[in-house]
Amino acid sequence: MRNRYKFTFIFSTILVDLMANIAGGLIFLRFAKDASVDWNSFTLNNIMVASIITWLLPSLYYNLYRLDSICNLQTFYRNSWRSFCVQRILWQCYIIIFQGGYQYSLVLSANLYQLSFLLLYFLSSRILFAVVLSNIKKWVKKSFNVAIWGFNTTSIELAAQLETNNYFSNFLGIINDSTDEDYKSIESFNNAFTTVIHKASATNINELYIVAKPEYIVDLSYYFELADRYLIRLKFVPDFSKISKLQFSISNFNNFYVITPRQEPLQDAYNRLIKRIFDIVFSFLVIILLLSWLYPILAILIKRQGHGPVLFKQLRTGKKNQSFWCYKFRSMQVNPTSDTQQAQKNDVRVTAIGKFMRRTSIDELPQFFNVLIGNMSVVGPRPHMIKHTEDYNVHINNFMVRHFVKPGITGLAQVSGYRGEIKKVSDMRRRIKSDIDYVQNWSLVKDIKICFLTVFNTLKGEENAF
Amino acid sequence: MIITYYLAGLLSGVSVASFFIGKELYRYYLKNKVQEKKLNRLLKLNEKIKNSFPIATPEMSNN
Repeated sequence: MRNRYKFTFIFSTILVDLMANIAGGLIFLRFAKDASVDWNSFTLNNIMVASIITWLLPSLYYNLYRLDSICNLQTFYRNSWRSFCVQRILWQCYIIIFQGGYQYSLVLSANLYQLSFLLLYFLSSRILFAVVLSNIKKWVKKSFNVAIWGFNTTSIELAAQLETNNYFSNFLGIINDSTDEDYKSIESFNNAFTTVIHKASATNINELYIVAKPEYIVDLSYYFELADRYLIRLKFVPDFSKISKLQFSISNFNNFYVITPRQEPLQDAYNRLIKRIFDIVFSFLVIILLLSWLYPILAILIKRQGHGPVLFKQLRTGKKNQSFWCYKFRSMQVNPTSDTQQAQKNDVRVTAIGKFMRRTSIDELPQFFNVLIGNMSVVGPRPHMIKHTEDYNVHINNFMVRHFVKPGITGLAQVSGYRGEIKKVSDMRRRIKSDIDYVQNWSLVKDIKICFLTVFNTLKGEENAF
Repeated sequence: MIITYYLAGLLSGVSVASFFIGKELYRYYLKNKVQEKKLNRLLKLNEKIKNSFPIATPEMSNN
């Protein structure tokens, strides 16, 4: 029954979006005719097909009409906006490629009217979809009832999850949240469970989540058989809130439940491959386009500032706690404390050219060679000196988590304002929190975003860069 | 003609701004609704835990 509403909604959305794009194409044609454009027959004959294809391609790529995406309004809006932007780019490409750049400039006004229409449609249709989606439950005659049994912090969290974007099922809440049931033994839990199954059947509950401590769940086959008899879909959620307050990641490996402290997207081999390709391409481009001419200039300037090598190399902690030589342009006079003492504001060791390089982060550019070699990545947690790793590992429990991935030239912590000198352990804690956040939520888009933010922050000038 | 361009541009700008503002407002409305229910449940749970320990400590009885 729910499927009927879900798929009616999805197909209506697809249809309305396509019709709006065709209408957009017609508006474009209507106003383009006013301009003295010498239309070629291919562009004109295929303009409707182009309207449809330029919309379908991005919407398929961003999974705009996928069931789980459309039932989550936030995802739906985000994907709609992305599809719309890509559609506009594809449309302009179509006109430029098949009609030519000069002719394109003549139809700018037609483009503007089409854009206005599509944006207005985009706004009104998304409001309408939200209204329909929010009220769709009222039109469903036979609702799909979902409830939770078990009153603890886990069930409260679960209830909040089920209440968010719950458009097609009727969530009744936690059915025993007002009772004072505490189970003294497994028998009392079993009795309460049997009673709740009977009650759930009487109140037409179709799906029941049982949130209980793992020690109570002793005979799953019995529980499932009982629920099957009353046509109730039973789902067990073990309550781990008493064991730990932290959130775990639970996965399934050949029918074994595997609990891990966190999700790590870079454990996936394909994600690592994507990141490595990005690293190689990016570092190659920087080395060829930037370092090829900047390196000799900086080498001469550094040499003029005093004796010592152009490059400064230091042992730093890398992935899996393995040390590696990290390269930088030498920004300080040769000194014996470089491996133990961090750079400070107005540090006397920093040379004049070094000051400029550190402020603009140019001194970090040789690390693109580290990226190419493979012991660093473009984006990742910044590598620390070996001594700092040893020191902070004692003070911060989860300090080593950042070493599950390759260190980076720039990172989430750096673009979030946690760069520069570390004065207190709390400063390092904030940096580590940000590093762990990166490890848990890695994506290629996030890497590209961090690269852009790094360039932006460098151009803007940072207070902590010295 | 210029006024039409101006209106079309204005319409585009208003649509984009309304979309993003509306999206954020709706997100906060939903979040607030869910958080309110969650808070009520947590208060109930807190009350339940408090009641399950009926012996008051000397500090509590002094108050």
